[in-house]
Amino acid sequence: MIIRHNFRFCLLFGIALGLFVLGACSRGEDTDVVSEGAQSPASIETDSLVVYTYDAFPRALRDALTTHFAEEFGVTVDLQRLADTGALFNQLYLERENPRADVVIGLDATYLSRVYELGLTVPYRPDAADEVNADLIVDDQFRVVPFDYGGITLNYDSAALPDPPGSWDELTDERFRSSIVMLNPATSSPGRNFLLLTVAVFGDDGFEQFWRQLRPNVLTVTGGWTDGYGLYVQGEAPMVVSYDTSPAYHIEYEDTDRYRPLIFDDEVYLQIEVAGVVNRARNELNARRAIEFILSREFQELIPLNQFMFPVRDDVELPAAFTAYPRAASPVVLPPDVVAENFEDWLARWEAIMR
Amino acid sequence: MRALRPARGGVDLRAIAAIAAVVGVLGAILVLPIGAVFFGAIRSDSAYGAKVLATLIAPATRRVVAFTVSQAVVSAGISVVLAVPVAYAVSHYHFPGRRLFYSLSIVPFVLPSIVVVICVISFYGRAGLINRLFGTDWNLVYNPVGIVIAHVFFNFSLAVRILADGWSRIDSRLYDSARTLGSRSRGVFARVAFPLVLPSIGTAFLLIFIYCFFSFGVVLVFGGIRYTTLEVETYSRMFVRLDVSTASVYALLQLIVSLCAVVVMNRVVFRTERHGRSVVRRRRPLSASNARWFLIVYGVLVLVFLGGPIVTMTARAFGSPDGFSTRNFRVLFQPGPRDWETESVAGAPVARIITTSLSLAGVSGTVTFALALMTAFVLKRRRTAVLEALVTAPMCVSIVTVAIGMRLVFAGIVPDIVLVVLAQTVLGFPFVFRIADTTLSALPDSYADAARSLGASRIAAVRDVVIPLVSRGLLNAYAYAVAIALADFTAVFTLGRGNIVTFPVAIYRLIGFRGFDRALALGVIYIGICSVVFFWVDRTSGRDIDRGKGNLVDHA
Repeated sequence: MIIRHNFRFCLLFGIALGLFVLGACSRGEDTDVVSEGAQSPASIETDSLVVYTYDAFPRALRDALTTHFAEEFGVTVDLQRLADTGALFNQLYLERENPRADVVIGLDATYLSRVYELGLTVPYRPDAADEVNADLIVDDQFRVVPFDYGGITLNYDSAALPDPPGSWDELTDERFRSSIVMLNPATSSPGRNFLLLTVAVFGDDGFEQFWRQLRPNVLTVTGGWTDGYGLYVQGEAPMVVSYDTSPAYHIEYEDTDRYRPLIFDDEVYLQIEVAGVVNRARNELNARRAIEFILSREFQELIPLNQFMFPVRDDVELPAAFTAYPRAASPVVLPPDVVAENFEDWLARWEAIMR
Repeated sequence: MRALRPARGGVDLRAIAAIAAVVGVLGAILVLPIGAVFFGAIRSDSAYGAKVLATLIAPATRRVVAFTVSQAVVSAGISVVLAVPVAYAVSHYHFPGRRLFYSLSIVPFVLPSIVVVICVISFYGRAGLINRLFGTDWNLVYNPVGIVIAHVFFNFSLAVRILADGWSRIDSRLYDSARTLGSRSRGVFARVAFPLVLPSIGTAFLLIFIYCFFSFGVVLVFGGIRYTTLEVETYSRMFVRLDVSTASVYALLQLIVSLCAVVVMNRVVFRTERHGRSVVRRRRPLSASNARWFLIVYGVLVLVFLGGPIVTMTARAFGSPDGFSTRNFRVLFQPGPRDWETESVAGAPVARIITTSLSLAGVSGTVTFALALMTAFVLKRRRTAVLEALVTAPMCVSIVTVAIGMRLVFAGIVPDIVLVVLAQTVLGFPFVFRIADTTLSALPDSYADAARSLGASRIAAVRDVVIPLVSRGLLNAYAYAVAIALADFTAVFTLGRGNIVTFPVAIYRLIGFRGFDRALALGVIYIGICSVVFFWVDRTSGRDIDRGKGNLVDHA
């Protein structure tokens, strides 16, 4: 009788656990991270580097970073992965007075106005900045630097949809009833950027009209990209909001060109991923070296086939999977301050139409 | 039975120590982390009061609360109603495959929500089996109906197990008396069997209500933007719109609404007089039942409903453009090009995913169960409103918030793996506690009192008399403690810093890497392992019952 023999043990174990947690918690208060005025001088340690990134940051890129620091500087990298970009930002925000991270890799425009406002990162202009495509430099002060980018647009399954729509107007045609998996702009970065794309295309006074016409063609709105793309690949709907680089994965690893980008008027919304040196970092020197390295040619060449995004350096040659479809000639991005000021309003108007 | 019983004569130091321990543990792993998250935000927001007011009076808030509550009520209600005949059959009759059905019914419960979504759409979806069989294009799931289907699929077994356990503790002599007094079998069900199981129905309804109340992924996929819940709003404010103040208002609303639900249900259901007598029922063959045809047809329909989505998902995992193939399973284990390998994408090879999942769930499940059992014993002796609220509180907060708070307060002091165990304890505690509490409070105190008056120590009375009588209910609680830990995604993902890889994490990462077919194959392996584990747990409990019955008969 399992229970009977273990009952006393369970009881003791529970109590021991309780004491342990209480002990841990009373110590926890001493080093409470939100305690005021906990200033740590910059650059006092040089033998380690704490990196915060998101969970999906690929292994090859992680390995490249760790190996580089071990071989070049004899530095051990402590690479910590948070669940997603939202969790990454929140961790930085909650730890802002006594940060544990030295460098953060993987924020995007959604978070930038708050990052600047709170001073979560400090400016650092790496030497490699000269090699980076000037259109992608999101901050003139270099509080963050771009390290990869992709275009947010629709993707379509050519096996299910041999004759895709050719324009925004045609997309609202009743031929495509319940054919699109949308991502929620309130919970997903690509979803947010797709909404911004329609604002950029149709304007503040026109995007609502477009969404009103599009609504019957939306099958459902998912919370995140993973759920939405899952529905699309399962054949629930022939169109989904995704990246213009998504089809490259299927070409490279599945040897099929069935899944294709759907770009109207040569416009996609630029989703730029950035990295930055954390304000009050303990190892600021190593943080700067990390920024320098992720913009190096060596690191940038790993981006396409691991991250399935475009590298930010123009001198990196793209693999064949990335040149299979024509790129959007005029990608759009709205100024961060305009987005910060208006997004809640756009979102509320969008929700009013879609619900 | 009145649960509140005054302590005998003056101050009982041991009871106070036990209560202090429970309060301390829950306070440390729950209140402190949540306080840390919201206090930091609120402190730095001078307009907090205005924001609270604005959020509370907004019509959108009312709409979200109304939909969150109503979808949870409908989902829980339908789950429980559908479970009644199945639980009745499982606890009153024996038939081929009874134990196997009972064990495997728990499987949907351990699936991460993204797999539940995949299962449901592979059966009910637009490209699902039903539409392909009938050659139709029905939109069955992308509406509130889909939310309810997924929730019922997910929670059905919880209701079946709690009801079946409740019925199996009812003295069958009550039925005999009712028959002797002239009741027809329908009357016996309506006037005896059904009223007696009402406390269990209340427990099942409450637990499923809470699960659905906090539903996130399922609601978004099937409900779209039209039907959004408080959990979605909290997440959106916290992680995407970066307005922690407003997020805290929604989190507070979640707490208030779910606490109200719990209090109301406690008033309505748990005060019901209990007639439980822990006499093990003798099951009759199903063929002896007057309702056998109804039960058989009903059982088959339930099998299709529950098993269908899992079968179609399994079939898809074995599928390929050329028909049946084990390719998706082979590639899970094969080295591949660059970072495409399972080990690189998921973060661990399959063998280590299996050992990590099982050992972590074993430890977390045991800790949760021990804490819940201890709390149930404490509350059986002394039940106050404060304690009741405290043990209910973990139900009423979102685990994402708890996990972030834990990281904030404890990271660097306590190892990650311990934090994961603690977070999973918070996650499972209220459910395991409810099941243990329902089981224990159905047992009259007179049994333990009799043993004590015959000279047994308090521990011996519990160990030799109480535990054997309620072992089935407690093993059910233990099974759920393990199941909740196995299925957990949020705690591992938020607190594991990417280094702790369990099945839900690996499946999620594979899907995120577009390795969809491999993710399905891994899901099938996961389902297989869970089936074996829970079949084994139930077999152990089954043997216990038989032995316990022998003891009772001896003493009778």
